[in-house]
Amino acid sequence: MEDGSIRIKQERYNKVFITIIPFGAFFIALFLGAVLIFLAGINPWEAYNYMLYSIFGNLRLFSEVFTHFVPLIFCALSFAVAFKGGFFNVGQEGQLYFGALTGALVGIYIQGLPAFIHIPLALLAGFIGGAFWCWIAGILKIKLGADEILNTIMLSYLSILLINFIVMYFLKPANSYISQSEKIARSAYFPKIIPNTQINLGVILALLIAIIVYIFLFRSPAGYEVRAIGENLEAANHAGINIIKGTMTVIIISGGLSGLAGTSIVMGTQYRLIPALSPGYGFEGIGAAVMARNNPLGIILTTFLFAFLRVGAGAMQRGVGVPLPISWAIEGIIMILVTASEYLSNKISANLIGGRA
Amino acid sequence: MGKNKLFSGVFILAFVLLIGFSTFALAEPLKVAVIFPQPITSEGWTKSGYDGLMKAKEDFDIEISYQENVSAGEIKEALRGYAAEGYDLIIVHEMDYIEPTIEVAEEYPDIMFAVIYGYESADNVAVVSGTNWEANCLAGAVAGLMTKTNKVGFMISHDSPIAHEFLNAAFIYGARKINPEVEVITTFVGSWDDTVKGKELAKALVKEGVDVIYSQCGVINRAVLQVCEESGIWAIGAVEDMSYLAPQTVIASAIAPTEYLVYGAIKDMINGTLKGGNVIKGIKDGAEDIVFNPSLKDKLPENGEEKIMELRQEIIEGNITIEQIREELTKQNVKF
Amino acid sequence: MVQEIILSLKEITKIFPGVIANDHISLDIFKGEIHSLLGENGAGKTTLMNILYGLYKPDKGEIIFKGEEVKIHSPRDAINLGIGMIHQRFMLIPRFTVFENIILGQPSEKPPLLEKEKLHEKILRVAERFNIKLDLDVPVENLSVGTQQKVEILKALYQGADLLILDEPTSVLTPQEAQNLFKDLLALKEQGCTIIFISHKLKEVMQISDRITVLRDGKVVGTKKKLETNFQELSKLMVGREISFTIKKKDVQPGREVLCLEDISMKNKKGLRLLKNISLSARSGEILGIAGVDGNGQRELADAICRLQKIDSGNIKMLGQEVSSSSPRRLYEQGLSYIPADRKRYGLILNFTIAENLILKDYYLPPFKRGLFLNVPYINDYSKKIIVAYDIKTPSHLVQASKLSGGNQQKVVLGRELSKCPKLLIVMEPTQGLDVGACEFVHNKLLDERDKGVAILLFSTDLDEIMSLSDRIAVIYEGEIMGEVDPRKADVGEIGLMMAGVKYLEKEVVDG
Ligand SMILES: Nc1ncnc2c1ncn2[C@@H]1O[C@H](COP(=O)(O)OP(=O)(O)OP(=O)(O)O)[C@@H](O)[C@H]1O
Ligand SMILES: [Mg+2]
Repeated sequence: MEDGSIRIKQERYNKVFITIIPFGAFFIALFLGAVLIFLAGINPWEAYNYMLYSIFGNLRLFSEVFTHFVPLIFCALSFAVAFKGGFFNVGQEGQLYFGALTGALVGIYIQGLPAFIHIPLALLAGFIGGAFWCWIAGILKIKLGADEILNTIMLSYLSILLINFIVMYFLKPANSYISQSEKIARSAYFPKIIPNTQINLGVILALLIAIIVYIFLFRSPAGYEVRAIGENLEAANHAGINIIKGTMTVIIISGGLSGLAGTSIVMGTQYRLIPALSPGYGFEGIGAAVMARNNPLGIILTTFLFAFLRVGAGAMQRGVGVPLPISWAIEGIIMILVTASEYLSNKISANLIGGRA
Repeated sequence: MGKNKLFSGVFILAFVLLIGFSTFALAEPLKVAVIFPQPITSEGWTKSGYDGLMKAKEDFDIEISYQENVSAGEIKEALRGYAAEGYDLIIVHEMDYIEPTIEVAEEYPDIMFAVIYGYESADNVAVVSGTNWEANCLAGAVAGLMTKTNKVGFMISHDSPIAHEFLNAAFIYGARKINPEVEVITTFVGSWDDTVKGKELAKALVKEGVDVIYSQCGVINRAVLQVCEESGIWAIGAVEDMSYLAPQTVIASAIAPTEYLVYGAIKDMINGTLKGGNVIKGIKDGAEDIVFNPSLKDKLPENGEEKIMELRQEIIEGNITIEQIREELTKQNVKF
Repeated sequence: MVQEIILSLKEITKIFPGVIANDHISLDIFKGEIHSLLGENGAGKTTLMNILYGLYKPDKGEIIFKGEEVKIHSPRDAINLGIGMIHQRFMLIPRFTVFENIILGQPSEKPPLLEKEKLHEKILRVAERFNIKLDLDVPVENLSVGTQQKVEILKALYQGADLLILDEPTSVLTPQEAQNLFKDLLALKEQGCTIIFISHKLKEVMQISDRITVLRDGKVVGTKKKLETNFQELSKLMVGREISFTIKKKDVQPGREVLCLEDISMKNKKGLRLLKNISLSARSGEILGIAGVDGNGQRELADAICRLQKIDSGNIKMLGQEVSSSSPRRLYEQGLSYIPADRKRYGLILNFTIAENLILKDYYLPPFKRGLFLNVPYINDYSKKIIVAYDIKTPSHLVQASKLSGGNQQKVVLGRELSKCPKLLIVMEPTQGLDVGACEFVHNKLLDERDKGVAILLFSTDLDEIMSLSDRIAVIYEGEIMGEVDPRKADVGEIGLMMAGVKYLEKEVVDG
């Protein structure tokens, strides 16, 4: 009886405690951000107010959050899947561009299809494009044992430059001097879900895919295999799991998801291929994934937060002149503190209720 | 998994709280916003736009805002942001952004947009640009004035209709106006920043006996300046007053203080004259001009400065237009 | 004689979700004694020691060390108090020398200077005092496991420990190395060190301890002086029932040949021979024991049979078929089960739950899979059944494998592999780290399988285990089979010689 009561009390105490920590971390991060803004000579209260006022005060601007949310979620999922499978794909940025290229090609050069065929076709092309770019790093690792972190990063730069080049010399309409492709066909536009906003099919697609990725990882045999390889390669090997096949699956899915990030920008926001397609979604996606501990459902929340902060950063700059680097710094502080707080709550839970891995 | 629920809790709560306390109110004067593709700290083009905005703020009763470092991927969001936040005039300081600007402008027909330079406009999108020829014409006149060999060089970055019909035509016209004997050798570098190639071409010009060079090629201009300095020939600065770079070489500069484009757009807006379509700002608006290097004024031929100033006055008064120039040159059988 | 008490634990209680790992444990340790902790798997020994070393925080209870109540929040606190712990997985940096490893993490006396010379001397003095012989300037990676353990001990001593905790130190050692360790421990004791020693091997416990405390289900069930107790009493205290130390075996009835190895050789990348011309055969219904000192090619041989490593020459036939064209998975599907030695590394995925670990080889087959998805309800039911059948001590099948005690982890592996009804079973070190009760359980399971007609290849460095279970014994030395003996006739000395590389003469004579 006595023991029972100890246990219950203890667990309750811990739950409350552990719940408070990330909250606290988030607020501390906002506070530190406020200090930075203050140091820049701006009233932080006004800055935050403006951000919220501006975003929540207007559906159209609020909907801008989703233009970032969609590619971010794909990039974060891309990192998470690969990470779960023990493959450190940090080349989301490059795969995004490549997927944007292939998706855009299908969007531009295939004309006259009905939307319900054209959209899936362009998405498929984007998936393949991203998957292909990741596959290069994968095959280098599998065949030559080359480090994928380095390779995916290098390939990222390569991809960005390559797309720059392709747009400039091949896709740019002859009579234009701006380095951008023609627009994709109307039939490949993501239909808007709420008219006059940026909330389009991509949002539903992204959420759906996050859930699918979750189910894949935690409810399907293939996902189980992927996680087994990621957690303990040798044990997986001893269990007869085909490591190469499993790793390849991960590479394809991860790259493909990044590709979809690029395609979704082309089909949902820009409607054409431009060299400055991504303001760093790939890297930010990694941060969001880490913060969500690579859980696809958690990623929905963290990427939304980051997307929100992106729009918020713009709003704060427009409204009260908070320089962009400060907004980036705030984002970084949130990322670091919340991630660290998870570590802390882990450690506390380890000490109090067990859980040392 | 519990932790994920938690995150949502965290920030929803945070924002709801902040909104609750939010006591934001909008002010009344004309609200003007400028969007820059580069950081405002970057010298040159972007800085000049920023300066124009600041000048306007001093001179007029307006509320201003700007967003810097906006990439092609983010331009629509920035435009929509300003539009949603109730700005009356939104200026885009990058001609490459004309298409997204027109796209967003369609969504907000009640707001005025302006793009600095551009090739396409709309009912509520004004394209504000320089004349592309007035200062060039004066630069040509200075070249014609200074040359002893009767050969002057004009370096243009890219070959395009504008380059021929405006830049080159005006330069040749100006040169011949002062010195009918002069021969203008025009070269196209094909780049804004290939300084090596720029130098090569400049040296080639020198070999052909050119003794004044005017270069309109971005970063390359400075490299050309070096060549002129080394070869002991005259140079004419472009965009900014370049005499500080080579005080003994730059005889004059055809400046284009682009801050007057932003400034001018705002001024027109206040006067109620800003309309969709092309808005062209020239010498009389302060958006272009010629300035002499004060320390080299004694090197000018007699009455030289006066001659140039006469021509300048005629341009301001509208007695010379680019169409006339082209007609005249065609009549004289001069290629441009 | 009244002994001075150096450490006194009072009412220590530690609760994990669903488990009371330590339940009001009170215990006195005398200065200068070797005190053993005995107990079944999951009895709470490691937890108790982790509390003492500051890795866990107790929910209740006090620790009185050298007469004062202390709060130990971290290993650093423990070290400062003079408590040292030798972990089972050594915390040494392989590329560093012994010297560098020892001074690692120790603040210098005169920062920023390191004063290597002085420290070097100081370490030597400590080593001399405790009679530990070590070359300080070799990289740790070049040392044997036993010597690495010595480094750990010296490090603890150098940090000023006078209470040393060793949690199952002998499970990674060969019998010789274990004996060397005991010599060192006795020398430490001479110098006034106090030692807490954990082992499942009763023999070792009886050899080295002064007193023995037995834990069961997180409670102290008794503390005995070594001289006043015996195997039977201790095991009864531990398990709550009599344990038979002699294994009753039915007569062997070998059936058809299940595994046939012909002239197998394997080289590593550097061209070093790992396996040399090995020929063996195993029939259904028999246990073929492979004896040998650890690291003599056992792992390579087992891996080769499972097609996890490629052989350079020779033939492997399983159930009459060449295995060379199969993948490991095909072999598993055909009735091969493999229980590798290092369960944490090869056998389990520590961050997976018990349920997830139990399906590691079958997740892709119905009924574990239904349609495109894992059949979660079935998997849960299945896991619960295995947990009961194999007596895995855990509050739930959804507990992470890393949170199980060592013995229970082994049972998870065992449960997974045996419930597949194998035809050929390869087991390595099946009872490493298992308590006597669990050992008995595993041994009986293996014999059951044998009687059901499974061919079993048993790799073990524990000679007693090999001798009592096997129907035939082959001895492996440096990748070569030294000979085959009949356990009923052979004597331990003879096998020992073969394990040290001496060929079995009698057999050669017969062959000749
Ligand atoms: N971090 C943890 N979280 C949850 N339960 C734990 C944790 N660590 C240990 N336990 C549980 O506490 C009990 C005692 O474990 P402990 O490791 O102390 O046993 P042990 O006596 O060392 O066993 P073994 O001889 O097998 O090593 C076990 O039931 C184990 O499952
Ligand atoms: Mg233990």
